[in-house]
Amino acid sequence: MPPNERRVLDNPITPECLDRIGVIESFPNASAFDPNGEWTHTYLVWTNHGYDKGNIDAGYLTITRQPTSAEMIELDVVTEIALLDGIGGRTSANIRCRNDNVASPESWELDSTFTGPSGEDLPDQNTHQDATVSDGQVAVTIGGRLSATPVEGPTTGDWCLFDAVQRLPQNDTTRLSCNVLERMLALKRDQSIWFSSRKPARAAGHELRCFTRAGTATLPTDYWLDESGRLVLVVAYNMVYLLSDTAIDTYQINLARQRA
Amino acid sequence: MDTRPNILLVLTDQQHADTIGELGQAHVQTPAIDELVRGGTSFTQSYCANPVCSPSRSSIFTSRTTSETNVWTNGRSIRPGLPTMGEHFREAGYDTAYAGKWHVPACYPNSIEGFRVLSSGIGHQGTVSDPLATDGCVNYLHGRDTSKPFLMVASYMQPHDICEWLRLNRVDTGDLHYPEIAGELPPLPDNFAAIPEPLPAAIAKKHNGLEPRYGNWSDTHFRYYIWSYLRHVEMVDAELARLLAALDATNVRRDTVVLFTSDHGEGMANHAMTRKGFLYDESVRVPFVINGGEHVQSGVVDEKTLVSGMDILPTLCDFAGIESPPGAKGVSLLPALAGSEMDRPFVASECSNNQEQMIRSFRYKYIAYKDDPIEQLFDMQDDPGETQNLSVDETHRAVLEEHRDLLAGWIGHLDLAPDLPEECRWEFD
Repeated sequence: MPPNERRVLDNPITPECLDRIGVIESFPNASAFDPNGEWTHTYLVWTNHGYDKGNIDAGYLTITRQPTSAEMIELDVVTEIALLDGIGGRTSANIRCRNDNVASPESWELDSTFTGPSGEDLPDQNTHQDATVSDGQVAVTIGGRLSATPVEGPTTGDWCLFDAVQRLPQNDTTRLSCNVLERMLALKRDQSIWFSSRKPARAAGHELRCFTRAGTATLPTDYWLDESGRLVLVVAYNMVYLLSDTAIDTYQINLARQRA
Repeated sequence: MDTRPNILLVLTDQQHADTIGELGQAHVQTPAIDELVRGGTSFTQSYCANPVCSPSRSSIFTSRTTSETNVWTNGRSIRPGLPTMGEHFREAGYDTAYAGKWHVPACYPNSIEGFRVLSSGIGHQGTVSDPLATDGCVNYLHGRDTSKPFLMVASYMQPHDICEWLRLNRVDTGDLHYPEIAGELPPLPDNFAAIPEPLPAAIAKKHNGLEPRYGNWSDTHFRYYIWSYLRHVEMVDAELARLLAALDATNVRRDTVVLFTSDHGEGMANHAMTRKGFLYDESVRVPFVINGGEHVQSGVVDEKTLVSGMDILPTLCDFAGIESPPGAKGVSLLPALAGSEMDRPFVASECSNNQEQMIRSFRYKYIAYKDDPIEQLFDMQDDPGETQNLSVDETHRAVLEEHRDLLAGWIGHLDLAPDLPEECRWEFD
């Protein structure tokens, strides 16, 4: 986009900022949302370059939650990103988590696939992994080959936190420490999660409150919840996850444009 | 069976040389890079050929100066006819693969001459692109044809996303956006307030950076910028950890030479500067670590050997047992890795559409600015922070003239791009 058609944002991304520049228009209907029950949330993955325009609808993230017992839940996750020049990156996972305050994963399967610029499958560019967190390590097996990484303390996944923050007490007694596996792949140690003391934000007619996560190898991430406790917005520095009914369509349009 | 070593070139973007925990940066955690340092050789006096993305990358992949590649600014293509790293290694029988940022000229193309592209990215968005670059590399390692050695380039965008941070945090509002991190803010660098007068006009404009002047930055905001920048470095370290784990898991770590470096540096509040595109060390000096292979000693920190970004291709060629492309301006570092002293009196860099030239000798740094009589001369041994411009000091007159002669001699022997614009050419009496 030509420089004179966009303006520097000047300030970190907030719900009000996204509302102001037209990224947030509305949130999907929240009828009968139960953070302890079954739900499916799809988020638009939107990336920001520091400007008010010319930003990118990069992809989507869908998380489906299913309690399987009083102590355990399952999260099914699919995320796809439309990369420049038509390459598609897809990650899907089935994660079995404890129903605790950070939805700690115990085991999961994850598939990573790429499609070529014409939509062609790239079978030698796909991997399937089986993984566990136990006995102080994250053990990942791909094609029979094991990688084990030691971890100390509670360990969760960033997708798991999309579930967990909806069940945390929204007051200043909430202060957690844990390690986080981003995309269940990249270990970010020594994360702190707290209920933000910032005043509520307003966007799309809703009042939003947030939890913040910060720590090693990440910039602070804000998890914004609406009045029903539903996670409607995640601001991970220059990447935003926005609850959206049209995220998958938007991604497919972007991918088609890249492949045109 | 081909017994030549595998080669992994890890290229970060905009990484300041002093951002590695094992090499003394106390405010960052870089366990993966630290592992490479402990098990390899680090060259602390490593200078990119041009402290801007496309120009530097053109030099890395051809071992030519940017006035030879004709990529003297972003968005330009490499001069036709110069063999590039991928083509050269593929011709020599290597399986060549590339993931991440290319930027010569397209940022993330799905096709790069001489390479199979594993993953592209989203322009200037390391938070999205880098994890997928690692996915591409990991998937490649698990699924590749093992009958050939590989040359794989993992080209990360981070910590370049600091440029986005600078736009999002351009204005100092007087309050930390996250007051909870106030106790973690690093100190300002020793040369934060240094203005080494006399200042050439071009660098005078860049002092105090773009964003700090616009946004009226306080010291606290500068420190928040440094804190945030170091988190960006940690992001790429986490990706490197995944990469190294995949080398281990696929049993190729022992047979793989890993070269870790960056295309250029970042101001990081040195001279109160942000970003890059100038010839002070914070912008032009970069991390450079070589790990693995029978020629590489462990735990060596080489603070003496002068290294150029143009050395990467000849060095990797030497590991692979193949000749460097003709006309390469860099040299192989294998003799230095084996402990020999290199016969190299200086390295050179160009900048700002070739309007600025640097000669870095063992002790001094000389910077000349086209059409500006004011030069810069720094004693890098006694003044590594570049706080005193000795160009007007009579006691350094001989040193100044010696470095002018080095620059003239260096430029005189270059194979300049035929269509290099007139304003990018330097004439000497």
